[in-house]
Amino acid sequence: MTRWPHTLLAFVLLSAWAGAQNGAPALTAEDKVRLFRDNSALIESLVNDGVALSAAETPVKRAEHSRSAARAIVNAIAQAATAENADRVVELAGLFRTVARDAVVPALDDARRVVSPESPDGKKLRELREQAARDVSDVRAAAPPTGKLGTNARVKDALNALDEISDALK
Amino acid sequence: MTREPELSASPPEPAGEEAEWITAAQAGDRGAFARLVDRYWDRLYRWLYHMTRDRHAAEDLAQETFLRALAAVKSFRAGTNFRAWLFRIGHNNFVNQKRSERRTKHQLPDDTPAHDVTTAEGTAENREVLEVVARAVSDLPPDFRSALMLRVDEGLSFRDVAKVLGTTEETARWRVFKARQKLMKVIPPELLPAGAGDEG
Amino acid sequence: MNCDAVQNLILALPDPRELTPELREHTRGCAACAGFARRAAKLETVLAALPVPAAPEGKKADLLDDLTRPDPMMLPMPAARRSGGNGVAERAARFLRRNAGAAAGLAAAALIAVGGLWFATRPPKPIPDELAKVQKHPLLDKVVARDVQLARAASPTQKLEALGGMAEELAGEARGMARLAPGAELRQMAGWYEKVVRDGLVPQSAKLPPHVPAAEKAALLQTIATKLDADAAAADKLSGEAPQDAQPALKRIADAARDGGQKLRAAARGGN
Repeated sequence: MTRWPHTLLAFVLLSAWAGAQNGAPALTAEDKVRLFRDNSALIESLVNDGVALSAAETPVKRAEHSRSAARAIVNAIAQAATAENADRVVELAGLFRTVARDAVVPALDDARRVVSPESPDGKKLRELREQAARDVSDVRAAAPPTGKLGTNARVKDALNALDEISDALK
Repeated sequence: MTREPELSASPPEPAGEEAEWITAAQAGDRGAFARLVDRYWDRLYRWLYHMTRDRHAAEDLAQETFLRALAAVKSFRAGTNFRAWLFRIGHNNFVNQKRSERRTKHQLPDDTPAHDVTTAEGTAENREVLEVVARAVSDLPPDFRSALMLRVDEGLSFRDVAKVLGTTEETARWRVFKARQKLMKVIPPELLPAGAGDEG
Repeated sequence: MNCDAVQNLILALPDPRELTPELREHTRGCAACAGFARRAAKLETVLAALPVPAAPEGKKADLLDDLTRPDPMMLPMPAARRSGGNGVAERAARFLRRNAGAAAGLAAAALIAVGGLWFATRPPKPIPDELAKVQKHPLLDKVVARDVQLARAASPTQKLEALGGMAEELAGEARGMARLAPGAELRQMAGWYEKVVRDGLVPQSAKLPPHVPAAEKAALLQTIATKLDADAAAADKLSGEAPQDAQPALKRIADAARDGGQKLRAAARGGN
C-alpha cells in the first residue's frame, strides 16, 4: 500500500507529539523499580492468566480464566487494604472493574448462550458466576464503609463504580 | 427519514473507556468512533441478519447504521445507553428498508459457522434443530422477532428492548412472550426434548 | 397456580432457563410443567446459538479503514459522485465535507490511530486513570488490557495479535529496566516473556484454522516472527551494554525470541 510510508511517518511524529502532550509526571528510576516490585506478583499472575486464556478452547474455560485474572486483582486489593493504601486500592479497583466488566461478564454471558444448563458445564458456569459475584463483594469488604479506607471519597467512588458489575452478575 | 432517536430517562452509564470514546467521537475524533464500530459491528450485524435473513442486506444495514450514527453522534446524550441508541438507529433503518425492498429468505447456508452447542446429541441432529428453529424464527412477525432476538441474543433488558423498538417495556415484554409462545407451538416437541421422564 | 398460567409465566421470564423460586417449586411437583420448562430452556439455548453467516463483503474493515485514514486535506479527495452515491468512500467524504472544521482540528488525533499499525498491533487502550496523581505502573495496565483482549479474542488470529503485543511490551519493559533493576527481577521478566512466546505464541501459531488462506497465515506469522527477531536483536545489543547482572536475563529473552521466531516461520511454511 503506497500510503504506508506517509502513514508510518505521521504515526511516529504524532506519537512523539502525543507523548509530549501527556501531562503525567515522568517516573524516576527509583519509581520504576518500586512499581515493578509492588506489582510483580500480580503481573506474573496476569501473564499466566493471559497465556491460559489464549489456550482456552471453550467459552466456559474463557470465563474461568477471566475470573482467575479478576481474582488475582482482588487478592492484591486485599493486601493494599490491609496496608490502608487508599491510592493503591483505588488503582486496583479500577483495574478489577475493567477486567470484570470487559472480560468476566462478557465471557460468562457468551458461555451461557451455548451451554446447556443441565450439563456439567452449566453447573460450572453457575459456580463461576457466583464466584464472580463474590469477588465484587470481597472488593467491597476490603474497604468497609466505617473504616479509614471506606470513608475515603476516592475509595467510595471506586467501589460505587462496581455497581454495574454487581448488576450484570445477577 | 425520521430524526435520530433521543432516548430519555435511562439510568446514567458509569464512566469508562466507552464513555471516553463517545466524548471524543462527539468532538470529531474519527479514531474514537472507529473503536465504537469495532466494538459493536458484529453484534449489530448479527441482529440485523436475524431481521433480514440476508447477509448482504444485514451488512449494508450495519454500514448504513454506523454512518448515520457517525453523522448524529453529537446528538447522543452522554450517560445514556449507547448500545440501545445505536440499535435503535439500526431498527429504524431496517423498517425503512422493509418498506422499499422485498425481503428474501435464505436457507441456512452450508458454511454457516455453528456455535459450540454443548449437548449430548450428534452434530447432524444439532444442525436440524438449528435449521428448524432458524426457519421458525424467520417466520415470526418482524416485531416479535426483533424483540425476541434483542432479548435472547443481545441480552438486552426488556426496558432497553423497548428503547430500541420505540415502544413501552410492557409491549416489549409481550412481544418476547408471544414470540416464544409461537416457537414452542410450531417447533416439533421431539426437536426440543424435555429430557428423561417427560410426560409433557 | 394452574399449569397454563405457570407455563405462560415461564415464557414471560427474562430468561426461561432461570426460574423464579415460585415457578421452580411448582415444577418440582408437576411433571408436565417441568417438561415444559426444560423445553423452553432448550429453546432459549438454541436461539442464542443460532448461527449467523459471516458478512460477505468486508464492509466493517472498509469503514474502519475510512475512519482511520489520514486527514483528507493531506490526500486528494475521492472524485465526487452524484449525491446519491453509496460507496463507503463517498459517504465518508460527504461526512467530512460537512464536518471539515472539526475533522481538520482533530486530524492529529485521528492520525495516531491510523493504518495497519493501529489495527493489527495497536497497544490496548490504557486503563482510564481515576486519579492523575496516582503513580500507575504502565506495564500492569498493559498486561490487564492484553488479558481483556485475550478474553475477547474470537479467533487464533486475534489471540496471536494480543500475545504478540504482550510479548513486545514485556520485552520493552525488560530493556527499560535492564540498567535499573537487580538481576533477579530481570530474570523474572525474562521468564514472563519466555512463557508468552513458548506457551502462547508458538502453540497458537499451530492453531490457525485451515480456512485461513495460506498467504494470509504466512503474512501474519512472518510479521510476528519479525517482531520476535527485533526483540532478540535488541536484547543482544543491550546485553553488551547493560550491567553483568542483567546479561543472563537479556540472553534468555533473546534465546526465547529467536526460538519462537524460528517456530513461527516453520508454522508459516506449513510445518512445526
